[in-house]
Amino acid sequence: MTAATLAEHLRTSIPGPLQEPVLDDQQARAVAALLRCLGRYGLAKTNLDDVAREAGCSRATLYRWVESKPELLRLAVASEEARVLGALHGAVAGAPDLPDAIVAGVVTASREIAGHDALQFLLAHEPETVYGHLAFAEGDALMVRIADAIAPAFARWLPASDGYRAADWLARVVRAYCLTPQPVLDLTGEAVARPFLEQFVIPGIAGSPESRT
Amino acid sequence: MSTEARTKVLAGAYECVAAAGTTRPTIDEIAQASGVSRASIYRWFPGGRDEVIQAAVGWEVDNFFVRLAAKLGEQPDFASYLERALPQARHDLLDHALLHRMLATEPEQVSTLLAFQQEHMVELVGLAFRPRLERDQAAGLLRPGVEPAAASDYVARLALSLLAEPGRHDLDDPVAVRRLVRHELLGGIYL
Repeated sequence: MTAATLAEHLRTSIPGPLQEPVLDDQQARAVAALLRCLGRYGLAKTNLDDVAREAGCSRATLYRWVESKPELLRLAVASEEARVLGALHGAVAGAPDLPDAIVAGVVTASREIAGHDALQFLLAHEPETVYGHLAFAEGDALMVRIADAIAPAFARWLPASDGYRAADWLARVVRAYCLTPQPVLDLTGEAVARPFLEQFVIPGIAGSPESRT
Repeated sequence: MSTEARTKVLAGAYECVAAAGTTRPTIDEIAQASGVSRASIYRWFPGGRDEVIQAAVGWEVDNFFVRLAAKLGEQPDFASYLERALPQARHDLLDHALLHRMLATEPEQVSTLLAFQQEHMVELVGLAFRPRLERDQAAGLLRPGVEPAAASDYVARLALSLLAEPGRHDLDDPVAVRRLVRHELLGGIYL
């Protein structure tokens, strides 16, 4: 496969936007129980018996709510992604100005990642279950989903295409600094995040495009 | 352990991965391919196969960036250098036949092996960027208060992100790359 056809393949293989799952109450209970199990035992050592026990229901009842462990995991990933993106959108859109929006977005995303017990357990003990979905074609698709979801929150300060660029860059910064095997820079607190973002990130997003061409 | 012997082991391990199409060759296979004894390999890599494979991935990462640097040559300034480096690196990555073969068969393992090389890559790339930033700082081109070490780390991390997951950025479009380099990557570093 030549570079050009492979690039085309990778571009066209980016899946469409993730449909936010509409979980009924029982599925939400099963997802919450799965996340608690993942935070304690990881993915390989969690089975649906553990999830049923954690959810306080029988195995038979759990099977009426979700058909399999992969299906429950898919629901959990999709609903967590939607929840975090909602929090991120809210943090950006609620900021008083563009620099604060970038700081709020990065700090919120970093806190969601650092405080996510299930994600942190998997990163520490079963990293392939996470990193396998963050790189190359899947990473590309995730980057596009995040940027698409967050871009509208920048509408008060930036035209749509620049809003997308800002959202894309915010996602990259968080990915590059917070989802790494070794800790790099703790962006969960404003005291560290703000000076870093003011120095390196905000001028590149807030500066007028014409001024630096 | 001599560098030469270490390179033989890593090249042998890489050859095994390429031949078998799996990231899990045995130590016997690696010993045979590299011409280094099993005992020596275990002495140098007490973690066994996983440690050898992780090191072999790091070795190929080094080779990737050495080959890239040789193609890039010198450029008048750091921005021009990055504008040339990003599309070239993306092409080289897409041309890496073994990487794509492995991503088709063992995507989670390969992505994880590379994730564990992330800091190594940031360091390698940052070390290549830093003298260029220091030179431009001496020429008065950088914003006041910018530390070349922190700046080269930032540019390395984000350039690697664009290289592996460009998202909707088209690294073959010189106008798009110029804007990325001069705004998102260097906007906070250069005057």
